[in-house]
Amino acid sequence: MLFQTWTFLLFFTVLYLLFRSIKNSTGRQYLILAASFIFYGWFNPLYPLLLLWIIAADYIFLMLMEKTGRKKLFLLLSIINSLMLLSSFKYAGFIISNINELFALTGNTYRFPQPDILLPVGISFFIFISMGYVIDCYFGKVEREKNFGRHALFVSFFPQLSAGPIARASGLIPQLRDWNRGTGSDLAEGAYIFIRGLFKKIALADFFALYADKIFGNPAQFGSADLILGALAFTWQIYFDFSGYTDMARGIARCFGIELMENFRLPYMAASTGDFWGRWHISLSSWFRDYLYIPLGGNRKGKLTESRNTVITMLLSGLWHGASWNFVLWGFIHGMLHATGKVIGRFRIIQVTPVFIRRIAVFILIVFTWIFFRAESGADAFSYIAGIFSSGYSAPSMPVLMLFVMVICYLYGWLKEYRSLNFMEKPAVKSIASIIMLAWILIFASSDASDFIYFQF
Amino acid sequence: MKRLKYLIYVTASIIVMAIAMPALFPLTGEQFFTSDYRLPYNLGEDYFLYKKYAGSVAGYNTIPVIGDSVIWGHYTSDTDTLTAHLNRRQDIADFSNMGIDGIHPAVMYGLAENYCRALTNKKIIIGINLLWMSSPRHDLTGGKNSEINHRGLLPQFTEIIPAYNPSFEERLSFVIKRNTSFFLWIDHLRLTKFRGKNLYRWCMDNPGKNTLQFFNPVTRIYELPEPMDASKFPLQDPQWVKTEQSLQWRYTLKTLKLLKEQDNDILAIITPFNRYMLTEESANQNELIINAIKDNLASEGITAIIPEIPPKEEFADSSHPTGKGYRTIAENLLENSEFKKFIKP
Repeated sequence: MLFQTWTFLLFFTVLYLLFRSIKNSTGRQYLILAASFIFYGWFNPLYPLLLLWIIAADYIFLMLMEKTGRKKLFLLLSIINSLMLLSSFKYAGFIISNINELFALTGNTYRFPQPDILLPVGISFFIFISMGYVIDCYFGKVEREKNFGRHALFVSFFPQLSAGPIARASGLIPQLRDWNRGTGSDLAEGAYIFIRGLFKKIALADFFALYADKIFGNPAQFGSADLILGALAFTWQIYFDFSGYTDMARGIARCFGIELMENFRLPYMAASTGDFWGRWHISLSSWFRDYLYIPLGGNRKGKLTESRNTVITMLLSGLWHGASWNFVLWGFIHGMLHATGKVIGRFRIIQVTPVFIRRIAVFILIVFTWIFFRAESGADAFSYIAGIFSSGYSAPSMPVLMLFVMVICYLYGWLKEYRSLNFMEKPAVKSIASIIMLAWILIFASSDASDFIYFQF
Repeated sequence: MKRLKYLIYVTASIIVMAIAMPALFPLTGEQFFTSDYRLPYNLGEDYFLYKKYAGSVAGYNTIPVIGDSVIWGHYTSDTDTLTAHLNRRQDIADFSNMGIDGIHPAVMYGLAENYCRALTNKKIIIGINLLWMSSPRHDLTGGKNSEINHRGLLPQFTEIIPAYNPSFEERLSFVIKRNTSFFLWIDHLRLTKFRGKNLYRWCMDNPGKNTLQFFNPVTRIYELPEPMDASKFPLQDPQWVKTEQSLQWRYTLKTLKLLKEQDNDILAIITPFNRYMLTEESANQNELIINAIKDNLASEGITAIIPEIPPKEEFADSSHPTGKGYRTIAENLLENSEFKKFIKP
């Protein structure tokens, strides 16, 4: 069930009315839990079984961890269970095709058959939510939630189920425990955040997608100007697509009185690659920081180890995004950029460089890294970049309106970064903005709902 | 509390706008609907316009003729349709062409149910085209068919149609759209003022053009399709669907009953099917179906007129006459006593 569909609007309306009519907190929790399973089952009726498996297994592991005292064993079992599931559904095809390629290289004629497994929507998100929770319990950062229903609701809470944000137990479980019915103010703020997300997705991301798909579909056919603009279009597409989804998820949760964590803070205004990861997909980058980078040693064991840890973390973050070498490459490039950035960031020349120049430089770097993310393979990404520098200039085919929108988006980022748009936080401005955004979507934007890019992860 | 107040303002503004905009800016005045008016081909799915047209016709002293492309006049200009030829006779009633290209009976019911409610206490003529019963595919009782015209007007949740299998989302959006004037108006706006495209697609197709050009409406001229060569009509053997098994026939009856329930006086015209393209056996089956239809209609108290089949060269294809064919049919109707009785003021 996509957020921008009539089906979801119907689902939400019925659910919200029921939710408001239930007086006790437990009843509301079970209602949302049931709704979350229906929401997930709408994609495929078998998906909830997978979700139930993760919920039940981690609940049992946590209980055994507490009751037997053998914490390490059950933490390990929980992580193995989660990673096995993730590998089977997400990486099995990738692993087998690589083994087959190795066989081919060594002259072995045997080939493993490719598994025909459908990747369940949002599997990486809810597995990471559950895994993070188990690790937090292990380290005593949060208490185990003894109520199975609440534990299940934390993992399966439908707004965040298909593409995050990857909630933390410390943030969400206390809200679920003392769940009020949500106020009118929550509904108003939630509706605004939702409409903003809808606008980002339908009016902006889907617009940029038209051009990005055209250019990335056959880059050899285009000149350097089109290739640069194609990369820029994808840069904005992926931002609006994902942050639009997150806004919608946060808006829906807010309507029910729940505040989900912020996932984006003007990432294209980052002044360093480290800063970028503090602003982009914050829930994932902080997950990797807390559960991988820091346990690996973080920055505590010298510069070299710090760089190694950075590269490993980013590499795995790339792999998390997709079972393909170009995602691994994308993660590796980010790891290298991040590690290098940390080193050169200490140089005097960098420190005295005005922040606005650093922001522009980082933006350009990020645009290039998105090419690896969008291309079908690493080789395609390299030939795309080579095309930028070698294919010569020809008049670009990007519509003027798109170019204009792109410039406005970038300018908006600058103004927002320097707090020149604070007046837009006033309720009256938000109200007018909501009406304009809805009218624009209805009249000018596409009526065909497309999937979110991050659903595939 | 302040936020809630604004939410109420926004919701109220949206509701007021949704109701007021289509009424304040219909973008189509009654002056559009001249005597030989027919819905422009490219506006065939502009149901807002159709509803407005039906509303206007309800107030005119004319007899609306509702039907598919045979009534609309697929191979002819505005002045050569059946209604245009009937209107040439000054001494009789005027007729309004309310046909739409591609409207088959199952969606004609949706059309009548949603957009013809204004037609009450009128004489109405319905065109029945047997093409829609000429195979299970046309009848929508065959296998899944992804090329169904006007699918948004089909029953979405009340009946399972074998050929129609959309997603729940598609069904729901059709129901919401056809019941909300505002969404129909948005479509109308797009079709009449924005070239029938959304802005983004237009920009992509015309990257070098000034975006403001998108807002300049373009008058589209309907290019008449080339009729088939009558000397080369191939003989066909359609797999006719009998009335008792036909979904399309069931919906024709439902449409007629619905219009009757609105206190209208109904006359059915079974538009001529091109016999010259039928094998002997198929022509006999066609005859049996026509007789069954006549009996069915008679039992419902509805008169059915079967005009004479025009000459071979006056057919453009299996069911559409040429301009000349329409003239022949019109002349034939005007000599028909039941027709004359029906249109008599």
